[in-house]
Amino acid sequence: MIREALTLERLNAMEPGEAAAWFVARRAEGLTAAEEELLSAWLAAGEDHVRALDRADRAWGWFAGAEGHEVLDAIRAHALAPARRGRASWRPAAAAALLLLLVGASLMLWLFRGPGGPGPGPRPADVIYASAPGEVREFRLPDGSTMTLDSGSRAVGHGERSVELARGRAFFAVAANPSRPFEVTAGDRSVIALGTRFDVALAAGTLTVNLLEGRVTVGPSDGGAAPVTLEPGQRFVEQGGRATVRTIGAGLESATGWTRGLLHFDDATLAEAAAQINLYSREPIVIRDPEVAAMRISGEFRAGDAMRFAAAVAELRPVRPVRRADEVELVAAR
Amino acid sequence: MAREAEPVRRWLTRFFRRRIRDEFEVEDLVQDVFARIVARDGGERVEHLGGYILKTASSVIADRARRRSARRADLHVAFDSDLHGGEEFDPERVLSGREDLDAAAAALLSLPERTRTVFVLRRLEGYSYREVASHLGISVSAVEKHLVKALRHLSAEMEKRLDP
Repeated sequence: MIREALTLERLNAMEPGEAAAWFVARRAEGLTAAEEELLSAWLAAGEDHVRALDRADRAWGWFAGAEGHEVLDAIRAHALAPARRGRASWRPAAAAALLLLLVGASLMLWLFRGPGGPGPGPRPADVIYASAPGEVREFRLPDGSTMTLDSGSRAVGHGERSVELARGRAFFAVAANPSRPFEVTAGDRSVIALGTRFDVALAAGTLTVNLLEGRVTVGPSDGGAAPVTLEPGQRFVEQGGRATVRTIGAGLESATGWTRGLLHFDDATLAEAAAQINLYSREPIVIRDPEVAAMRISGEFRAGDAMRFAAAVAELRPVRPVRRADEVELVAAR
Repeated sequence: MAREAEPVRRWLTRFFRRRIRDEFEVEDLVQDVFARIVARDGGERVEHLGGYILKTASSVIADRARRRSARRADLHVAFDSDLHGGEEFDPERVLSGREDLDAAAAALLSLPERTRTVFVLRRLEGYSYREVASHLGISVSAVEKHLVKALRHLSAEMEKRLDP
């Protein structure tokens, strides 16, 4: 272990806030068995230690769902820039270069990790976009459109205005260009758009397309049958070869809340809601009590922070969160 | 997405547009504000993100006026009551919403730059201690010391915010 060894004497000599900060910083990387024991001993040594740990924990959790916050994004880009920067000011060109660098870096990271499974390799001109589990990531496409990938998704860009969704869900804000439609293929369907905002999701053999703005057509990618045209507020769902179009209206905006780090529940059971929250959170919400699992909840919640979700639910329903080493359990409040 | 992700930039663009006629320059000034924000090296506490951004934007404008003072300036009124600007980049209020992240950003900005960079790489970019150390060319134990410092500061800021 390269990290410095901590001893109970040393920890007890520290101010509780400092000792708590050591534990929280280390815990995110994984505590050794000895460190776990040290933590229990230190916690047992005083009520103020428990409070200090809770405070440091909340400070660590403060940044959950930070994606898309522009100032935090700028701070992140700055931190990621190569070390030993000069004092030169950050001109737009440099900013653009940085953005390219970031996209390039995430690509390299992906290539380094290797593709998720067997399949034909990408063609030379293809660009691979991927997001890690728990991560929502926005990409700028060569034509100026943006694509937001949901947790654990993968897409391949073929040329300027053509993207293939291989896995997961993607939201598109397409730059208008009446002479060149933008095409998204998913499974054996293809969605064709002019300037517009829509999302495409592939999950368990079901293809869903939500259209927020503009106009898209959905049809077989081989052009075999006539495509379906969607109006804003409509949702296209295809499952087992059967396609349906439903008009959802304004509710569709919240269906794409995930792009802003928000999850929307409309009279969902706590079990369903927890499963969604767990997709984005490292620390899972666990519900063992069937009565709690069946309680219903509505509202918008921030993805990526299980503890915050649990605390919010505790205000709305008779439950309380119990935090353990690697999970948060929701139990009935008595 | 792009619509929601850029409220600060939009607000700054409006702020400069009201004061500067040259549309091309507006974009440069917006960029300048971001450059100053991210390169900030700790110092006094940032009470409120909106207020801090406004202050930075104002000083960018003032510097520009200084640079141009020899020439005829086409700058109109410099400062008005934009102080409420902070709330404007708060388009949706949701449970544990955006203002919480604004406060988190403000607290981060009052850290020294190196400490902030270490914390951001570890917490927001998910780098390991070792990766942070090699990215910045410092030792693993220095990384941990920066993290501890950052967490103590952030806890204290959070505390102040919860019960001032």
